[in-house]
Amino acid sequence: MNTLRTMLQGSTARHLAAPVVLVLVGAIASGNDYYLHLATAAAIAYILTVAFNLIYGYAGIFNLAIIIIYGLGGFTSVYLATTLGASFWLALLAAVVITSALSVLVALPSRRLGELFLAIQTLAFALALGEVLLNWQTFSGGTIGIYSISPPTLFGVELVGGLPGYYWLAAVFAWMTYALMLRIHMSGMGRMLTALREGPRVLAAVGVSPATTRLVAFGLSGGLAGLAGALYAHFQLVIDLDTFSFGRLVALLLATILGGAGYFLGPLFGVLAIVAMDELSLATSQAQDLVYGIGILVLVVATRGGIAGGLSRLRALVTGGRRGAEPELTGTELTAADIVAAAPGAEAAASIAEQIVDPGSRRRIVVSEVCVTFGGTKAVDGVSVEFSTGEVVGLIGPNGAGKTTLLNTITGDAPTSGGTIALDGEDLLGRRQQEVVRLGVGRTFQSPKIIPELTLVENVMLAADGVGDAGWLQQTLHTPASKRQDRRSHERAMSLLADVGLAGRADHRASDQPYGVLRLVEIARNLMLDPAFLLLDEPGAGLTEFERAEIAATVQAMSRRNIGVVLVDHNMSLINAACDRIYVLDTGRLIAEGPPGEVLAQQHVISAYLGVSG
Amino acid sequence: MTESTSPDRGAPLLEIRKLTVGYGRREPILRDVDMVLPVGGVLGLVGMNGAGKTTLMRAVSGGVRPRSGHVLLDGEDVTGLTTARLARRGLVILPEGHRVLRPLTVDENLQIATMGLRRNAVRRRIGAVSELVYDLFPILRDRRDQLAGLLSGGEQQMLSLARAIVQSPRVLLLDEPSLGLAPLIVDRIYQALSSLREHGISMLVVEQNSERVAASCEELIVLRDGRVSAQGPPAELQGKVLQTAYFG
Repeated sequence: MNTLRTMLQGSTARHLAAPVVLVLVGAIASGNDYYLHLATAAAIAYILTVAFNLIYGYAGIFNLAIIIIYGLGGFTSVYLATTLGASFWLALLAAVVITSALSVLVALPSRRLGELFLAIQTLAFALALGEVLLNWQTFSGGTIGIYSISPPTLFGVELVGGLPGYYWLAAVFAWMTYALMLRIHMSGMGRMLTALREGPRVLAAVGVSPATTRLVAFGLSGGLAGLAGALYAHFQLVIDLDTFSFGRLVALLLATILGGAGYFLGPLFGVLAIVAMDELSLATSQAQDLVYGIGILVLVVATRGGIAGGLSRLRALVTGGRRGAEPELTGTELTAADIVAAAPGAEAAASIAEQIVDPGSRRRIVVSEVCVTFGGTKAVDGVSVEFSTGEVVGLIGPNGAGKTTLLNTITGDAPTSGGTIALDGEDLLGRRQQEVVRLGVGRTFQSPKIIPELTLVENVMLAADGVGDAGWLQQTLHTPASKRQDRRSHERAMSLLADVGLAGRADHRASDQPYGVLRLVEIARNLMLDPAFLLLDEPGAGLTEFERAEIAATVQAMSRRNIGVVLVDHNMSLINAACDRIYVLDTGRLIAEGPPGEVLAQQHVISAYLGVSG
Repeated sequence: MTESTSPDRGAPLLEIRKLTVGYGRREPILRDVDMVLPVGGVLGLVGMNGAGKTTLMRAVSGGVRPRSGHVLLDGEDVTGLTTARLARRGLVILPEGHRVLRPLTVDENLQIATMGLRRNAVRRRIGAVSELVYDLFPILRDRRDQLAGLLSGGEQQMLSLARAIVQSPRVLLLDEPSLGLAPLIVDRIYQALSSLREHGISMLVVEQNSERVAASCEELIVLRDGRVSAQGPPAELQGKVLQTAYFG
């Protein structure tokens, strides 16, 4: 993923790269039938590889049905055009729509399945569809296949596969595919797909349904595969089921991984590598397996992330390793020092407090008599608590007391076996996490849930992608509305990062950042959601006392912004500094509540939780 | 625990000399770090996030190869040895987080630590150490047949500490032993550490919780941006001095 800055600079070059290359290839190949054939096949292979790269490389879903969907695109367009006599263009469109819809259907029953099961499900679907096609003679020609496919015409000109006309047709579609992928790569859709791969829970935590995002990925990828299939059938003018066999899937997987799965330019390099290896094996009298084998070995050993990954590391080496030295955490330093000096840290927090001041309406989360059972043990046992906006409430207790589980019940992450939870009288139980987020309840996790592949600012922007005005279709096409939304959310994300002292690191990848930074990014991402409530699960863990002082100040600032903060932590100085009230849990039960000073002095709290050091 | 009556208490056991560590081609994360851990001593290592504490632990325990500098154990150069080899020489690391094998029982988790030994030696070792382990953490004795994944966070941390003890370390590297634990459990862990110290085990302890570690070490070292910014008895490194060491 690139930063907005390099994106803007490289934007024109990137938009023009595809047409320029395609025209050049076309011009060079035009004189030679063999090259022309090769170039056309490569353009179609590019579209198919993009389809697989989108679902596997970007979204991380191992979709084994992609080849049969590719075949279905071919058979559908041929059936409509040859048997039913529809025009090629109509048949092409229908093939794309049908394959896209069917792909969505494959993924639909698996809204909750884990990755491996999803792969098995796509495999089962692929086998079943293969059987259906084999036995549906009129549609697929059975084992013999279909010959006598008539080539498409455009304004009375026949575009016959192998001649320049058809190359240009394939080239235009390859260009459109490239442009679509570029838009996905640059927009919120690209961020959401990456998040789907790296951490689906993050999506739910920013109010986006992971299941829906997955369906979108299946639909887009299926449609592209169908397009490639239809183009392939009318290019070969002959089509049979053998073409869409398991071997083809292996070649596709090879192209995707060699080129660089998840990289924008991966499919391009992958197709080039396969073409080069095929030519080499022809030249070496059919030693194809050997050449493939050596090719894979070299690339797997020498480069991680395939050719595209190798090149981007090479570029990083040439340009000096990275974008300059890691900036110091000056912001953090200053504010932290300020806070240590000026007691409740009002100064540092002022900038956050200014943004929204809405002291009027108080909202309320009421948890009453909630029970959670995990196979016989009661993790939460009839707990009743209340949180309202504008106050900071601490939730403390020994390890295993049920604090995190209680948070999970509020955010829809853990099933309850009794009791009710309501936000302003509206029932929260049984809602999915993303629905709870959209009602205004954000949360952070014990270990920060951040997408390592994205930059810090992109991680924060993710919170605007699911809830913004631009829907997924607009984001996929990256329409002006989606661009406007991106600009706005980028500005907002930058100012939130500046608030937590991370402006200097906004364009750095999250994977390079230390723990404390990721915690602050997670908080910034939640503020982006404009939550009414923010549940913080051990925000102080793994931080120094100075960083903790800053968390305390940030929390206080949030409560002045009329956000209700629920704070789970083991650090008593943080709890003391930040909380208006606290609840103490022990083995799933509420054992004390009240102002921190009072509660922490109670003997049973001390013996259950604090020990001598409290 | 044969070394428990080591006579040369106070002699240098682990020496880190001019250690410089970095990942890939980037700027080094640690530069010219020096420190000495005496036999039976406890060093506390503190500093901001990103200062290089965990990297130092990894470099000393064989997790990452230093660019330059040396690590000496008993005066012998052990720079670049693997974690497993170092463990056999008595230098054991307890990494951050509760690293237990969740699908195995408590007992099996402890047995894993003896996989490098032959069968007879295993029995001897377990026999010799289990009493100490169960003395320190009686709860583990009650839970010995339970799956480690079902233990609470505090019990898991006790178990990973116990697993380190089974390896009969002379030097124990501890990366944030109190991370995410309730105050009461932190007390227990630190009580266990001080009793291990009485058994002659030397320790290098990384903590964010500097008050906590200050109470149980004789020397505190502050890292800032990959260098040692302050060093001395905890009593001298407090308040303003400590803040300056953290932030410069």
